Amino acid sequence: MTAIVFELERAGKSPVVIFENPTAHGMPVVTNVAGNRKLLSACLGVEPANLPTAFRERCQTYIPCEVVKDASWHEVTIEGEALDLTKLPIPLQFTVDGGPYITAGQISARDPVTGVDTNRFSSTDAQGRNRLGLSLHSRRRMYEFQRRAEEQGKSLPAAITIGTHPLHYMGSMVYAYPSQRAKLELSEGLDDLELSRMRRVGIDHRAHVVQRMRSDRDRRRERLSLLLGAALEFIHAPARVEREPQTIPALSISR
Amino acid sequence: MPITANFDKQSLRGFLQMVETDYPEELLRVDSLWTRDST
Repeated sequence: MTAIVFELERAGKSPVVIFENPTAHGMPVVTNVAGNRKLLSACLGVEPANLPTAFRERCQTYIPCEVVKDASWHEVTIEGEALDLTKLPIPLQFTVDGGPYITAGQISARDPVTGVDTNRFSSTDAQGRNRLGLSLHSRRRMYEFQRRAEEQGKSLPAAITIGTHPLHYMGSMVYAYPSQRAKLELSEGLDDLELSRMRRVGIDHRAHVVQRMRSDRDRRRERLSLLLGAALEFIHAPARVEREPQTIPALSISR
Repeated sequence: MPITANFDKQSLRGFLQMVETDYPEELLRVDSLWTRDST
């Protein structure tokens, strides 16, 4: 799948690519969702030449998110022994990778001090049936939330969503915003008419697949933990990186 | 520019519907993959 996208790029094309049946499990894969300037412009309802200006202006419009009790991803919930991430078509991107990666997962969490939500892209390393990992090495807001939770002796609840609209991607990538604003409020500001209908359950996004997880504080080691979420824990210590896998409790999927 | 307001802007599925309807040249469907493991 990665090779096909690379070849398309070499040919000067960047379409959205749907792999209808990449594995025997029957779940399609959609990729290159945010790789096309014309399509991103269309999401904002502007011409491609006006995309930078529209994006800059709208992401400074903050609209509170609607919080609802239920969402489509609760249609299917897989837990416990039944949870098997290997049944998801998570691709091995490059031969040098340690394993399959979810490259466009959006991780969301809430500041344990202020209650403000954030979300961001994070490549997520799939390790076996129920383990995922990610690194918070950019040390921005998510990193700080995890640090604050750890300081309180708590885990930091988080969710990874796959299958969100590209407007959510665009909102999550905004760098300059007031600290009291949630990233989802920025996403809604990108298109205030349509995204005002955005639904959220707790820290979850609207998405087709949601992986819920809880990060665990490692009490045994005195060092800086960069882990958030399930998976693999990247722990940064002077001149070395260690990994510890974390278990995710549930996989929720909308039909 | 095509009018995209009729598509669900909350979901990836809505985005794909928009692309398929308004920008079909920007959508590629791959039915099956051949890999080294396929043989």
